[in-house]
Amino acid sequence: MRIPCPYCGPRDSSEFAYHGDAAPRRPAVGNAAAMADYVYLRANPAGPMEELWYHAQGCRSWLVVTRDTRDHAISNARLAATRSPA
Amino acid sequence: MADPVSDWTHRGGFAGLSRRIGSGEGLKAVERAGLAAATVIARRGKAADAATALGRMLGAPVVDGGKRTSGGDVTVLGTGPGTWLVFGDRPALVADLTAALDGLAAVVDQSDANAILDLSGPRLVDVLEKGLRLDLHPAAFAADDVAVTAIAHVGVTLWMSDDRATVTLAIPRSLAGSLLHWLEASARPVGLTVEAD
Repeated sequence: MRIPCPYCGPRDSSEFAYHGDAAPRRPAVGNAAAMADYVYLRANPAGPMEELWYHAQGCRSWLVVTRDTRDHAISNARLAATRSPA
Repeated sequence: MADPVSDWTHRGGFAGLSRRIGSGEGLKAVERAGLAAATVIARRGKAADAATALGRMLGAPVVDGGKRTSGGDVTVLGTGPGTWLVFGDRPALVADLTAALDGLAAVVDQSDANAILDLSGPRLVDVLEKGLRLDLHPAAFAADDVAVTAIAHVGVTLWMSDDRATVTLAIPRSLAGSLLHWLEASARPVGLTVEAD
């Protein structure tokens, strides 16, 4: 699998470290139910999902990669730093 | 009494590792020792300003991307967003960068961190493709492109000369022996010459 890094170009997935679902955002302190969801609940969709990958052996950027979990087709990759803050 | 620090002499990462394997003809590896080096990491939101300041220092425009820009004795390599690795054949490189990038970027001396190897020869690409997961065809890799990747688990920063005849690898100097082990094995069928101090 090759991941199209926005800085480096297409690179072998072995250069990257996988983090997981990019959707969860840390909730405000004090909301125990929301924190439990944030820590434990994942959607596990069959289809496109946004994931965090770290380009450890390249530009050392965190990426948000849109990958189809059924066939690994990657439709988008962007720098996580360009996301709006939580 | 001799000064215990200023009497130290530079010793390249490949020092003592010169060798000739097989015919020695297919690939030539020459260590480039004694270069000053620094990483430049732009402060938050200052990447464009830092690139402009680097360009002013070089007399050639520097972009925030994986590109090589040379000016005088200084070479700037884009290694990540807002991040550059700078080599220069001058002792004052770090001081000059620090002055040029005041308030725009963090400048950290890396002069003794890297071992640098110039690779050339008729079988250059044939050998590199055994460990490098990059397409070096001119359509995919321009002469001024820079790549940060890994060869045999060794992190490398790679760039090439304007005429594409020489590919240069900068690696952590403590891994020089590991990289050379891969290079020896990969270049054995075509022959390898390593020239270092």
